[in-house]
Amino acid sequence: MRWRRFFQRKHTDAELQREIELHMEEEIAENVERGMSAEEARRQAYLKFGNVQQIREEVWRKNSWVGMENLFRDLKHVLRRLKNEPTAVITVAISLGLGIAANVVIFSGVNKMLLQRPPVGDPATLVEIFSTALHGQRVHATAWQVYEALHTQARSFSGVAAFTEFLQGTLTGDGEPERVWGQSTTTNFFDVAQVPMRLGRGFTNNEEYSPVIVLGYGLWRQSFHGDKAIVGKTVTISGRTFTVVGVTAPGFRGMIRIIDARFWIPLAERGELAPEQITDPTIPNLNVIARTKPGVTRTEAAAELDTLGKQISANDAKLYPGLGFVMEDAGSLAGPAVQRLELLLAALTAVALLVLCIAGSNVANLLLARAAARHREMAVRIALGATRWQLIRPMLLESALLAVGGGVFGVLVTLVGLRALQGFHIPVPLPIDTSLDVDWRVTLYAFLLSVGIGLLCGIGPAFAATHPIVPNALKGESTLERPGRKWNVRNVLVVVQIAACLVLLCTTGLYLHSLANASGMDPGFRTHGVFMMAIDPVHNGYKAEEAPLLLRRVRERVAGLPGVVSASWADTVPLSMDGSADSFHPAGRAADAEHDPRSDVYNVSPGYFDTMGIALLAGRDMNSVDPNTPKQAVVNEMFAKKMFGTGNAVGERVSGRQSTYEIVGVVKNSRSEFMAEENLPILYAGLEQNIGAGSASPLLGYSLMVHYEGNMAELAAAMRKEIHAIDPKLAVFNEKEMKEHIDDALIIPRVESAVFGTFGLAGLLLAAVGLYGLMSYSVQRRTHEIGIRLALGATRSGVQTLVVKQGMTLAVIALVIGAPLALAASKIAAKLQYGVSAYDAVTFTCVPIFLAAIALVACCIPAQRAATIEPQTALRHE
Amino acid sequence: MMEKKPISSEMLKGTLDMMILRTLISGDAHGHTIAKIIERSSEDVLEVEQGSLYPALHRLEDRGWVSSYWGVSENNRKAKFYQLTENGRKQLTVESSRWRKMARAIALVMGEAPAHERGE
Repeated sequence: MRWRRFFQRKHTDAELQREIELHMEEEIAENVERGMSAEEARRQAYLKFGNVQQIREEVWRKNSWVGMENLFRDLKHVLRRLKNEPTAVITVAISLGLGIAANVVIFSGVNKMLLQRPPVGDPATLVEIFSTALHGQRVHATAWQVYEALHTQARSFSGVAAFTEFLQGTLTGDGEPERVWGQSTTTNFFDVAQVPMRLGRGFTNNEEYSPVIVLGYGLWRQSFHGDKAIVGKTVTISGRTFTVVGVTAPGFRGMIRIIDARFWIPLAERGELAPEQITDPTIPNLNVIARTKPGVTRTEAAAELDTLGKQISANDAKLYPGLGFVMEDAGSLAGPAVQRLELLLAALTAVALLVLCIAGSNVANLLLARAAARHREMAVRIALGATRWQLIRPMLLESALLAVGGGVFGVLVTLVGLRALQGFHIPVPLPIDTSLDVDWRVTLYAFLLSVGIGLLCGIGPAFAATHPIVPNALKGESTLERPGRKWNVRNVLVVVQIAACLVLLCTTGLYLHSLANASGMDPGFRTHGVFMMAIDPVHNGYKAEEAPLLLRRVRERVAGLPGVVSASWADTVPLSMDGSADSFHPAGRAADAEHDPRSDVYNVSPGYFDTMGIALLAGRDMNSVDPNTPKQAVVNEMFAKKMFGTGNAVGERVSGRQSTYEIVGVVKNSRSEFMAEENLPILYAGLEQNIGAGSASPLLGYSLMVHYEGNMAELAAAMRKEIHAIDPKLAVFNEKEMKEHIDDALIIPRVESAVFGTFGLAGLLLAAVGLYGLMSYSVQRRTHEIGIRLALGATRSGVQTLVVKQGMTLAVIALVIGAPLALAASKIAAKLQYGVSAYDAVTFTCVPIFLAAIALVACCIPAQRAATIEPQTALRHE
Repeated sequence: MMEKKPISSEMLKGTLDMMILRTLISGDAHGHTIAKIIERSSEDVLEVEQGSLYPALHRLEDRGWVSSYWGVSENNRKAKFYQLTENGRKQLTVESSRWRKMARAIALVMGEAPAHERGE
């Protein structure tokens, strides 16, 4: 109502005017009738009516907000002014835009990891319950028995459901078999979580043992072409047939935000696809969600959980010592991983803010220059009686407006950047969801950040500009220069910029250096001519004891292919961020969990060392032996050294992983977990001897490593054909060359270098522009003075030196201030990433010199300009 | 001149609204007619500053007590006519009963007989 009136003010006013005119005409006519002269009639009518203008104003005011009015007027004014200075607008928008984009990208990560809730009904009352052991010291998933107890006994919840994180399956259909990841859930999962469905429904309570499946939206679109009639049809996963009962709405990828689950089956059906026992009371492998009853507070629920935990613990003290529970909002991460993640995100946010700071100081500098240019106008307006606030308001509005422009630009850059990031994948064949998007929270953050930085940048210049020395201004002298003050804000800002830039560039240097080191490193195994390809028999309907035969048959057939030099299976590919480790001790000595060295464990088939090009130093490779003979192992030098203090451990026996191994050979050290790591002890055990022993299903399947000669693509196709000749339903995945794999393994240092490199370069650019701008401004301001100097006999090179010296003083001060900060930052960086050295002489020498050189260039151009000043013109200047 | 007697002008504002609504009971009218009716029916005692009528009409229309349309006046001039709405009628009842109570109370205090009620 009010809005309509507001926009119809002009119309209303015109109407009112017509109404009043009519009133006057009537009144005058009446007066004339009474016998007055035309002149008198008119006069009396106006007398009687009162002030027309005042009445119109009264109505007008009533229809508008005075504050709004003023704001609009300021806005119009500011927009008009900005239109005349497109360069300034673009400079500010780009500087701030880049700074804001950096922050928004990072924040979209924070948003995804820590803020977003899964798209379920009423997320506020849905909680995730984690078990804690040893009185809250460790947080982990929940065992089946504990879930049962919660499900049947907890009164605070209207429903308690559970699901498993990962479930591998092979989807067979028209095309090649495809490995897909899903989850298994209790049948009430969809009801408790209130999962929005695209088609059909979730599970019903009597479907616990039915082969039914709910498809994720993505899988449905991708593998079933969005078939609208899919409900009721069957799909085949790992050789078992499931009936589709529903398809989830887009956006739902399971309760865990970073895992991209693509299908769901009832928990009891899980056994059909995976050999792991979920009902094993010792293994906590369920994630529990619960819906709190209306009216029950979190505290009450927590108290009940506490009591329940104590009860379960008392009943079964051996299995669940000190059992407790923690509740989190559904979909949030829990445990120590979160702390690390939070630390990383905080560090990234800090870096992004640093970039924004540099950009902000640039903008502040620019605004200061613009403010200085208007000093006379301001002084006149103050002299005429304008209040301070009246002057400051449009200036603040201007900077906020510029910043919002920057924010819009920043969000656009972010959208482009995030699209580019979609190509990025974590080099683990797990369904990790790394997609980031811009939702309302991110947009709001961008907006608030823009306005905030805009006001922050604007407030200094606005105050400076509206505080001129009025008499000076009116006399035509500079009004912002306070006599006797050597340091002004602009100098400080430039110093801050260069110092911040030094910090960023030093950190970038460290990461780049460590990346260069890592990629130049010899991993200790063959990097070229090795190809890998994985299958996962136990998640394809094979029993653990059937797997060795299958693996052997595949290996034999592949080894016979032309171009294959050797081939060998491994349950873990080095540098995969995955793998197993265990403590070992010499056989015959008691285990000492605290002091026994831990070693990475690889289960490999014979020929592994030949294939990988890891040199055998002593002894021999493992034989192809049957599972019942004494177990053999090959260890690396580091293992031999740590365990026995000698290079030659052949013939020794070690215990660990519930067995004892005879060491038959020692091989050279090679990288296991990361490129940049110290040599780790590794024990290689015989794959076929260990396949049944609890390790039948490595998360990532078994990889066939092939040393080949010739054409890789042809060979890959041939290998796939051989595998499908044995079993056409086997999904083949994670196919890549070793070189590619190593590149993937360097993903973390590469991403870090890329992030810091981008930020550092942006900072460098901004700081250079800032220094250049300052020096140009200073030269322009001192034109008069330089003219006098030249007229009095100063040489041109002398003038040049003067300017360069002024600029370089700032740069040097900044470098001196920045160096300890950079050192501190690099210490943090070194803590966050192994292989980064905090004291990197090369970086700490090169970066300051580089920065100084850039600063010199930025100063030289204005200096050059100063030197070409003509004394004649300069003296007439101003 | 308004500033000189703020209290009476405040008082007038409330009663003016009521009087305008009251004049419209006998039919739609434009601004000038309303002013004339008020003047005449108060036996020229209440000489409202005619201008203040318009903000008041505007206010009443805003509250939905009167509606307006453009029509032709008795003298064949295009004029904006005001019409009492259903809400306006209700408001008038409320206002006039309140006014009557008030007038009666004042009369009692002043020791006079209750004022004659005119109209309904």
